[in-house]
Amino acid sequence: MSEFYIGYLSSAPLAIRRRVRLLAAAMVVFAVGGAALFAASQNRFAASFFDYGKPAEFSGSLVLQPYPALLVNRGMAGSSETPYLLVAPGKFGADALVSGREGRNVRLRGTLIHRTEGKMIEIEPSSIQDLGESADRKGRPRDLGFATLSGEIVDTKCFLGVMNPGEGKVHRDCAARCLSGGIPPALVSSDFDGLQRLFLLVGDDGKPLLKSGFLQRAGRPVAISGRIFESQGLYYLSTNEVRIQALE
Amino acid sequence: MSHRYAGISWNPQKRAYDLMVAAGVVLYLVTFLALSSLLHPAATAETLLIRGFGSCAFLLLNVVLCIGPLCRLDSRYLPLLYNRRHLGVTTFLLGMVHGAFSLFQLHTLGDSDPLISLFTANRNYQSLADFPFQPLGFLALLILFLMSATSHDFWLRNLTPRVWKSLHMLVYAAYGLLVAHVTLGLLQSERSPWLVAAMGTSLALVLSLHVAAARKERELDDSTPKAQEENYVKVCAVSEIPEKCAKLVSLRGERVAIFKFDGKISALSNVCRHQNGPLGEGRIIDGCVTCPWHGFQYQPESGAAPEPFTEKVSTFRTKLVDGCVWLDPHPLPPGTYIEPSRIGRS
Repeated sequence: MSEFYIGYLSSAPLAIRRRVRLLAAAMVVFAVGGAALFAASQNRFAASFFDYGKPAEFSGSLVLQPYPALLVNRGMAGSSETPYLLVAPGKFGADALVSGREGRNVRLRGTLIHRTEGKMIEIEPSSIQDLGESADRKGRPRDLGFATLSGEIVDTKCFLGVMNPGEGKVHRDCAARCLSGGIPPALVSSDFDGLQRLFLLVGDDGKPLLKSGFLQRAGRPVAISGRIFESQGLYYLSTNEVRIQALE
Repeated sequence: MSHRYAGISWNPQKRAYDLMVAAGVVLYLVTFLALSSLLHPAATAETLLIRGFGSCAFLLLNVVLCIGPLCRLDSRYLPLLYNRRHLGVTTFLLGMVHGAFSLFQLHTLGDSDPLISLFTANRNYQSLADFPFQPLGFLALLILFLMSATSHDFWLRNLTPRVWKSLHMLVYAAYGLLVAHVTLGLLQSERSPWLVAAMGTSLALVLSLHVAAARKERELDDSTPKAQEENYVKVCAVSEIPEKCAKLVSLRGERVAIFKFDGKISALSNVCRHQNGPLGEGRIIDGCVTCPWHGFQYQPESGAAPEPFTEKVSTFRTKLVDGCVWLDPHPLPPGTYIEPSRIGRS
């Protein structure tokens, strides 16, 4: 007669004990193997960074339209300025924090978010110091022509480093939340010159694109037709809701 | 076997079981987190924690679901079933960590309530490919919470075994939701075929074990009585029943366990009142039929649990003719005493 197991007794019959030990050993191998398989099978993570807990000071001139940015001149006189997109803490844009300071020189404190495709600062709300009118004058945007680019609409804050991955289906909900809160929207595409670039989405009038046009299209493949232009080192795609097409 | 809301009665087996579960979970998490950090230095800690806890919970749920059919196929695995609810609670806790981290990362600090955002951030409910996968995980977690919260026998007693069992069968709904959650979420973003293969393998394992167990049960249910006479049907020879064990027969859709003990034959319902365990796969220990799942006991003559316990199962009339057992397939009210048929008097 086979052995019979009763769980509330202090020990199990020998044959059952042996079988369970064997299975337990197999489960250990399964746990380690499963964890290793999953760890090794993940997509490559982008080299994007959020210097959380390491705030720094930045000085430069503010540009508010179409999206807030700080132009920082770190080099010799006459060298080009580096644009830092600006955002507020959490899932909010920085418009309210820098409102009314177009063209002003400021010093502010914030946390750097960076990736090959661009740089961004999460501003500490009470840290902005006005240093007066900027002597620099905004150059004319450089028109790069009309094109259709395919890629993915992202919220720039997560894409540049606050989340990793900051793109794709797993990040779609967060992207919708961030874009709804005013984080600058952008198309990530390498169609223009072979390099993966961020194209900030603006309307045909050059102002921020209406959210209804892209909110539910974030995190999935799209093709967008529009005019591309470059201004202060940032690339823009001027389009409208109708010219954003979902790709299968 | 207590129905009072009492703490766990620890014994060496239970401790060993829980230690193994804890060690397995820690081993999985440490391996995943360490290896991921090494292979993917750019990955954020939050992402790795979300993935580590989520995948561990899902794997554990697969294990939980395999235990039932595995024990139906081979009783040597019953020690895994005895404390299965500890695995279930662990699965919920791991899932909760995954869910809480995800909700915080993806839905807080924004312009909407996080729970509302969970259901409204992605509104493509009409599209399969774009379907919001996070609400699926939330619903599965809700089911796992209900199951964990009611896992104590106190709730089994107060909700009644039927309601409790129905509630806990929702684990299959939770599993389905989680398969969809992973398939429509992570698997749509990740490109590795290994992850798809791992998901397919785990799903196939769970399904094939259930099919194999169901086949075994069906063979029993498809067996037909050897003969019929008045109210009795001939079910088996006395010699077919091992001493202090049972022969299982299925009559009119009801399974009956016919026990042989001390030169006597008694028949009672196969379904334990605790968690529907198969009494017919149990033994007579200390004069009582003992359920193989959790050790609940019943007197074979009356189907009543020994005092102070109050569970009762149906009994059946038997008679012996020419060394064969004949059974009246009409169940008697639970706890009805029936004089056992005595072997050698037929």
